[in-house]
Amino acid sequence: MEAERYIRNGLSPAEQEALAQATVAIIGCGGLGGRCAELLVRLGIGSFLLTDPDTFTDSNLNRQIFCTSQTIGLDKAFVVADELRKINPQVTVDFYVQSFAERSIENADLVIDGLDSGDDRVRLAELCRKHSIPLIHGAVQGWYGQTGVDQGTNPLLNTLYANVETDNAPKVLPMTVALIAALQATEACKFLLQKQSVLTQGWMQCDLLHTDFDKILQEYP
Amino acid sequence: MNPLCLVTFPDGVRWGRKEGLQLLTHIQDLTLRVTVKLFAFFREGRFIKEEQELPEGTTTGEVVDSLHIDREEVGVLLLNSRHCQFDHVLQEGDIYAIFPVIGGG
Repeated sequence: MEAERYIRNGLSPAEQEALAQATVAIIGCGGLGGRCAELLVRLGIGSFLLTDPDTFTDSNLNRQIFCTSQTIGLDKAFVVADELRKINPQVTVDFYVQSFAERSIENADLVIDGLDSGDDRVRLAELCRKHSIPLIHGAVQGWYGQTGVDQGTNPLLNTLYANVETDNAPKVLPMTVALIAALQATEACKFLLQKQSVLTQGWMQCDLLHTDFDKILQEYP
Repeated sequence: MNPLCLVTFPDGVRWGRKEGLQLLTHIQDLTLRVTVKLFAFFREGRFIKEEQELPEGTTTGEVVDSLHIDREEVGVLLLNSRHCQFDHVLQEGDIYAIFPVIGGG
């Protein structure tokens, strides 16, 4: 099974090995974080650090891939860790049922933003900057989503969430979550394979209602 | 400068500025064209992109207000791809983009 597992990825053995050696921290294991974790374990990421203080509730069922009638009431980080091990028993997964802290990210090669508040995102970006770890941002609301890469040199999260309060329970469609999580996983893959991305220069705005996709590119000093 | 408001001109209701009941600005003489672009849910019930004819002196914030967008919902304002605040005065030919805060995850 192991020889066949990644054959359809079509990546070179060196690329696949780079992914196997990588550690990805996922902060927030709900809609974006859970879906992104699932994609990244199938891609072949070798190690995960999962952090989420919450348990699955009924209102998560519409969009969070590992929220099922069997997992309601269970810790999200625990459930996602368990599901990743089911997909690949070789994977290394550490999980923390708590708000994110230093240990959530400090040994990671990159961090996935699966949070749902602007304030927390700005704090996470500051923590990532302190440890010089890139942060792959994603956010969703209704038919709309956005994604971009904050590498510390480009203060993306401070740009997007300056002086604003965010709605803590926004309306979110499952298709939007799947799309933005897929874009975040794609950016993670590109970063780990040392491929260039324009999303380090700004962000992408996705409008599924009007089938409209815009790259908003910035010049950073 | 007095705030922008809708006033009745001989050719219809247009944007203008008033002091008390006296009309100060005849906007036919003093308009500028700006391209306004909206993103995400700001598009709902409004538009994706629109050319607007506005009185000289119109600020970025006044356009937000005229669209009945709550300023607290605004995440980013870009004027010709550069960040701006609500008090920036628009110029002829500007491209002005308004983004909401998108918070879910």
